[in-house]
Amino acid sequence: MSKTDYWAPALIPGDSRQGALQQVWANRTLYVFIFPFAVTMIVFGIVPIILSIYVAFTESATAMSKAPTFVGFENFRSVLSDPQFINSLWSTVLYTAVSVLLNVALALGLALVLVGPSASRFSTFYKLALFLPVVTPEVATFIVWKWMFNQDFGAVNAALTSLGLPTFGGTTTNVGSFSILVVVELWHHVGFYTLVFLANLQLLDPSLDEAAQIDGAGKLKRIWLVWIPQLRPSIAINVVYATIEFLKTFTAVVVITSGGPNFATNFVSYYAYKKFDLAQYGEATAMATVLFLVVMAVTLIAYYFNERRDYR
Amino acid sequence: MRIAKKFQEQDPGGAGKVYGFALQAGDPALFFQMVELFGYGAGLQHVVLDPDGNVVLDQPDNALALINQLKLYTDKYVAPETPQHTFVDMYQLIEGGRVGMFRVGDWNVMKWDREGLKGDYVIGPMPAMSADQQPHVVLQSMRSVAAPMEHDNAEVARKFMAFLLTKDAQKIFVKYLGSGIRNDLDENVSASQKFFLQPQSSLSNNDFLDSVYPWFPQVKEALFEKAMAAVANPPADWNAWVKATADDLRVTVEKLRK
Repeated sequence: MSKTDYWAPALIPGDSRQGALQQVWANRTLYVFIFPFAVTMIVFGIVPIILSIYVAFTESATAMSKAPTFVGFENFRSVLSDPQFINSLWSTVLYTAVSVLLNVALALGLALVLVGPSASRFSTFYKLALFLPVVTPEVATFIVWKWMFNQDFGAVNAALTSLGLPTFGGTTTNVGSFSILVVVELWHHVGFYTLVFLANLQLLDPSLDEAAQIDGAGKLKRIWLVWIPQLRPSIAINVVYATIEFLKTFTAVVVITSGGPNFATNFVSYYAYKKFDLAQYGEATAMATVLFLVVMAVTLIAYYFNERRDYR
Repeated sequence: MRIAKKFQEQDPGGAGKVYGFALQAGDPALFFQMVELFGYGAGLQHVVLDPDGNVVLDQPDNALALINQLKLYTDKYVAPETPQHTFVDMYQLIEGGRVGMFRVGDWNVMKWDREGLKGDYVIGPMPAMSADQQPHVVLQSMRSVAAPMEHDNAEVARKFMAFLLTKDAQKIFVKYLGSGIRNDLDENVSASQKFFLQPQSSLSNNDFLDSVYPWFPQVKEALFEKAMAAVANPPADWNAWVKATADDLRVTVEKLRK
């Protein structure tokens, strides 16, 4: 590829203010295009986060007034000494770990099947079927799932009963409720992760596979020792993205379990929302800030390791 | 409880699986609303906290109202998903004909008097919590209307407020909201709606304690946590549980007052 085949920002040597201004001017087209998105991100992304953190340091009763009372780290102390929040944090972490593992493993498996010869005939149909839940509105589909698991008129128990099997406790048991969220969110998200793997499978270096074939490696061995090592960047991206996504799980909880039964699915996002609903703005935003810090920490650690490793 | 049991066992409408009661308990506020409604029916204006901020949950009638409600869960007279039910979930059960009794506001009666649902619902006599109690009707969330002193059009506001109490204005309320505060509004309304315009039981008013105590939502939350734990693992002695819960709430209130 020659130098003129692609566009890159103009770099002007020197670190003086004039040099910086010249650099901005030289790259003005870039900044013009970035500007609307930068403003949108600052106004609707960064400012609300800063405001939320600000509220976390104020007393709930005055948080929404013109002159809120600052209470330092009191809301954080209150939240971190709340056993319900600690339970909530642990159940969120457990849910995230289970969901990330299942989603990434299943997505990888599905992607490997979809690039194989057995799925080639209806590959578009399979991809569409997998990706459709990703683009379907969450609330509408979660309501359907909720009805499917209803104890009295749900399709799941009707099917189990007709097969002579014991009924499933659904959202009325702790384990059932937790499992339903895992399954529903798996159905909703796995298509996206599969798509990322499918895109990366197209980029594999065929010469490595051919070399392994010549060396007599079977299909499974090639997948394990040649394909998957090359897929590490996409595995890392999917794991990081899934971790962030599942730590923030909210909609499915609101629609399907309301955090129950007996707080079994009272994940941090939902708990913070309910605190907000009870006018405990300081505690709610303190919880949101703790969750934000956890998400940021996970992202930065993953980014650090991802940048350090040479995968190929 | 007796009627709930009978309805559940007999399923008079042939809907299949039915429940005696429809309740909502998806969050502390929803649950607390149900607790208060049970209290209102027993003539109690406040089940948990009195207007002076004292915990009154362990007074005999208050305790009975809460225990009776929680037993609906543990004795399975409500749908098993009720601890997660929101208002919408509760109404899906009601309008699906799957419950025998439910709370009702007169705005619903207006709807149920129309085609489609007409005749599907009846309003029976106001129940009492126990045989030795009288049934009660409580007007919840009483709202006053006021104009600020420094309002530019204070005189016009005063006239408007006076109009709100006239029969013509109240008839508009009845037409669109189903309720009114005069006792001469029962012309041209259905028999079921008339029930609400001519209460057969003693009438008292009530307003949210949230408007008095900014920390009251936290009391609701504390009660909700304890109640949901009791529903999940029913105590052997409900009265002892209420006493312990009331004592814990006193500690909570004491902390919140500071």
